[in-house]
Amino acid sequence: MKGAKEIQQRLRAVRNTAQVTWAMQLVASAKRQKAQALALRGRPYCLRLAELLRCFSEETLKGIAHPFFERREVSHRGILLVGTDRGLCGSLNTNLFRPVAGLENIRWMTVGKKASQYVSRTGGELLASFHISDRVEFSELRPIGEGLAQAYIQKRIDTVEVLFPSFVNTLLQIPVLQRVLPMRDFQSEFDALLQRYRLRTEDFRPDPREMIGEPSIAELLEELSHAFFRYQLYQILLEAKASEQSARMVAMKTATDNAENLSKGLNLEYNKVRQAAITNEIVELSMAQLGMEE
Amino acid sequence: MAFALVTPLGVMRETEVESVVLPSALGEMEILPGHRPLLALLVPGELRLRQGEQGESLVIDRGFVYVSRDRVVVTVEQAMRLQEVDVSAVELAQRRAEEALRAAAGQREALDSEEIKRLEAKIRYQLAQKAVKNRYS
Repeated sequence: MKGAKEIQQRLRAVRNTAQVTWAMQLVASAKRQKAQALALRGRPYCLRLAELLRCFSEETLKGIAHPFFERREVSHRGILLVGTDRGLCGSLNTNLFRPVAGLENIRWMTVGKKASQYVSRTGGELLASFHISDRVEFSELRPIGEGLAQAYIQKRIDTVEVLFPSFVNTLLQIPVLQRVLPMRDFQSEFDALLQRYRLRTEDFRPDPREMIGEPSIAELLEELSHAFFRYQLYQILLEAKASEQSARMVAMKTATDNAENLSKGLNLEYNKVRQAAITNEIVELSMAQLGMEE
Repeated sequence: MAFALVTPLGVMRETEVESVVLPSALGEMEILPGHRPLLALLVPGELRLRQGEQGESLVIDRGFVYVSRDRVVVTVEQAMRLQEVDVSAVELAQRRAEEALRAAAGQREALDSEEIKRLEAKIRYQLAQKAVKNRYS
C-alpha cells in the first residue's frame, strides 16, 4: 500500500483536474446552447431552398449552361473537411476523418486546425485552410464559398463535397459527406436532408401538377443555385459548430465525472491508510505498556 | 390556404390566409386559394397578408415564393413587420452603405465585385423599407 503522503498528493492533483474540466464543461455548455439554437433556427430556410430546387428535373437542367449544374469527368474530388480548432471534444474529429481514410485523388480544403493537421499527416494535397470563430458569422463564410466555387469553376477540382459532423442531438453527432457541387438529384438530396433533420416525407410531398416559373426558369435557377450554395455551406458550418460544442461539453462532463470517481476512491484509500497508521500506533503503544507492566 | 414566411433566422410567420400580395420580379401579384403551382422570384418590397378583415404588412428582401398544394411558402433573405421599420435607422444604414459604395467606386479592385453586389442589394432592401413605410404615413 502507498504511503499517506503519496495518496494525498495524487488526490490533490485529481481534484485540480476535476475543477478545470468542470469549468471547461460550464463554458462549453453555454456555447453549446447558443450554437445549437443557431443551427436549429437555420434549418427551415435551407430546407425550403432545397425544396424549391426539387421542382427542377434533370431534363430541365440539361438546357441550362451554368457551371454549378455541369456534368463532367471527375479527376479530382474536392473535399472541404470541417474539423475543430481545438481538441478536448472526445472522438468527434477521429470519427469524422474515418469515412475518407485511404481515398485517393482528393484535393482538400479545411476548416479548423485539427482538419489541416489531419490532411498534412496523411500527406494529402491541401488547397486552402480556413478558420471559423465560435460565433459563425455569415461574413466568415464568404472566403470559403468563393474559394470552393473558384477552384470548381477553374477545374482544379471537379466536385465540391463537405465532410462535417452533422448535429443530431447533444449526445449524437454523425459524420456526413455532403455533395454541394455539381447540383443534381434534387429529389434524393432533399430526402436525405429531411432524414437528417428527422422530418416526415409526407409533409413535403411534391405537387404533381405542372409548375409555372417566373420570370424564367434560367433566372430562377441562377438565383436559387447561388442562394442554396451559400446557405447550404453556412448551415453546414452552423451544424458543425453545434456538434463541436456538444461533443466538448459531453467530453468534459465525462472527464469531470471520472475525476470525481477517482477522487472518491483515493479519499477512501487515504482514510484507510491513515486509520491503519493510527491503529498501528495504538497497537505499538499498548504493546509497550504491556511490556512495562510485566 | 396555409402561409409560411421563412428567413435564415427561422420561420418568421406561419398562418392561415385568404390572400397574399407579393412583389414579384414581374410586378405585384396576388395569390388566392386554388392557385396553380408557381415558383417566382421576389424583389425587395411589400408583402400583404389578408385573412377576413385582418390585414398585415411586411417588408421583405429578395427571395422566392412557392405555391403548391394550396400552400404559399415565401423564402427571403430578410423580412420585417411594417411597424418595426424605423425610417431614421434605415436612412442611417443607407447612408453608410452608399458611402462604402462610393469609396469603393474610386478603387474598384480594393472591394471585390461580390462585396459591391452585397452593398447594392442592401441598399435596395433599405429603399424598399422606406418606400413601403412612406406609403402608409
